Amino acid sequence: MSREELKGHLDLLLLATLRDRQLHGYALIEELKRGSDGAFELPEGTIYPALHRLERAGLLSSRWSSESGRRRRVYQLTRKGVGALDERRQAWRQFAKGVDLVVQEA
Amino acid sequence: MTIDEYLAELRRHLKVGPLARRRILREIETHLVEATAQELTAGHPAEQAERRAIERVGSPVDLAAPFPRARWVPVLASVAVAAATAAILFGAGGVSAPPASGITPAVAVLTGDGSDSLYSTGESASLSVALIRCPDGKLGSRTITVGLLYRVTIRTDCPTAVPHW
Repeated sequence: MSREELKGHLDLLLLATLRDRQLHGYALIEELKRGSDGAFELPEGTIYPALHRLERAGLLSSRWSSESGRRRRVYQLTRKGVGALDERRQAWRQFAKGVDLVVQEA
Repeated sequence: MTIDEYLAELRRHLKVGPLARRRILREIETHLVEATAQELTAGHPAEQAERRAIERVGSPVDLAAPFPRARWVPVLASVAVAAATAAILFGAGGVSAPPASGITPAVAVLTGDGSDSLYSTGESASLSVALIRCPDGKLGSRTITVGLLYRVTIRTDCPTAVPHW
């Protein structure tokens, strides 16, 4: 998947990665790489505008956390974010199913 | 480019408010430090590890671009101009300011230090105040201008000499 295509799904990927846990930006990127088995490679800085945007939209909340002597900004889903994740997951499954059907037919 | 140089470049391109800017810079700095540590652990020498970490994060220009421009600066400037207008129209005596600079006591009240610069942006606007009562009782005019770098200047035009405060 190209970088541009990936950018279009970044919100869903970030929301899904933050499901049931709190992560800071660096850990989030590492988890994205691990969870996708290395399939997703983006300039790592690109997640920060997305995280800030999702927070402004009320889908994420964040706070400063001091662990191992270093201050990091950790993010987590809000209740609204959980709802948004479920909706987008549903939409993605329908989209992927539609693509599969067309591609298989072809 | 070092991490410090990267952050300086990023700071230059961020057009957000000061709180947001501080947070973003801190987050990116932490990210770069962690990425550098990982590259060092992978066996790269220090300079190369820092460079690889910066490459992973991406261009500071591209990183800064998606952050929305601060909207509060023009709003605060409008508030500042409105406050200056009210102070001029209804009086704000007791504070002195050098008349040659074009700054009135009203602006000094706003800034607290007699300076004529309130905020730093690249936008400008102007506001004209129509009529005032000059010290000699005659009608004059006063114009407030918010120029580049949000320099607030107030010009008084009275038929007689410059009023003293």
